[in-house]
Amino acid sequence: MGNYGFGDDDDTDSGSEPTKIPLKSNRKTVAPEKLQEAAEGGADLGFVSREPKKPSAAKKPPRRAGRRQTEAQDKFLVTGPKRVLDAFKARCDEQNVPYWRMLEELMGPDGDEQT
Amino acid sequence: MISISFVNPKGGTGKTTSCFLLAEQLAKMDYKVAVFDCDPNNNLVNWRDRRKEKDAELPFEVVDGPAEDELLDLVAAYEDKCEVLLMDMEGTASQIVTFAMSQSDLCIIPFEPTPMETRQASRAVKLVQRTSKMINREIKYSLLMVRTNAAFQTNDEKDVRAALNGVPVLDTALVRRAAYTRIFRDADLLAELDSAKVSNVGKATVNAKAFAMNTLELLKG
Repeated sequence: MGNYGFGDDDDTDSGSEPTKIPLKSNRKTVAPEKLQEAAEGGADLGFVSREPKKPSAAKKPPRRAGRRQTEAQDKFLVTGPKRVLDAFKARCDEQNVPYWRMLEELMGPDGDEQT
Repeated sequence: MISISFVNPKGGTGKTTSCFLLAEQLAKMDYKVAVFDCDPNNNLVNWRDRRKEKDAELPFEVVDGPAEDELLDLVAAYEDKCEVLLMDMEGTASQIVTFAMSQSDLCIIPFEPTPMETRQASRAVKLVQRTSKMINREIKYSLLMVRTNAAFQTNDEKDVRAALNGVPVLDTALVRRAAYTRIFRDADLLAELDSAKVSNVGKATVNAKAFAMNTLELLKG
């Protein structure tokens, strides 16, 4: 069926290229404090930094897991003076060992003979 | 150098495709073009690498996207390396988008005229308006409708057009065309697609040219 001349002939590419025209930039150097204000304004609209946080030097490394994977596991709740429990946890943190490892060491070389 | 960023905090709104089409059309007009691929999906970098693998021509430079705190320096480094810098931004509400806007002569906000995408596009409009105010400089911006229907306006599109309330929108919309997705399949240029294998390549090219000319009209000296 013909289109009676009302078709969309203009939609076929003629192959000719548009010509290059001079362009004008209106960018200016942005002062750091203005950029900071802009970033804060963006944060109000939910545009926040998505960069992964760099690890802090002050952050403690996780405690080593020790031989947990090869032995049967159990757990218990310890209630005692806060002073003692805080000192225990602080010593574990200082030596970077899990709580159970510190218990094992405190019991001495023969401490786990019962198991 | 003229700088244009493609922004929308929603992913999949046509930023990469419209950025690519503009890059190709401007390169064909003899502009020296560089594109920063600031989208973590790296679709443009991937396209570039596959072109290199098949020894195909690269009519414009594609640059790996910088980290947030490197963007400004990288833009400055390209000031004398190209005539037009395009920045394809990631589809999240990220601070790097604010930085890119601050370095842009024009922000293009592509979106499909649906309720969900229009709401996200309005967030980008608010951000460019606010950034413009904060840095005391007019940053031009325009919405760009993409994936519109070639034959008629959908009810969604009619609703969106009625609700624009004076927000600038490019006269040319990018119509949904198979050619625009096919370019990324085999790392082709639009001009290289075989019209015997891909439908309406001619119409897609006319549409891309009109989009480029509309964009340049906003930036001419």
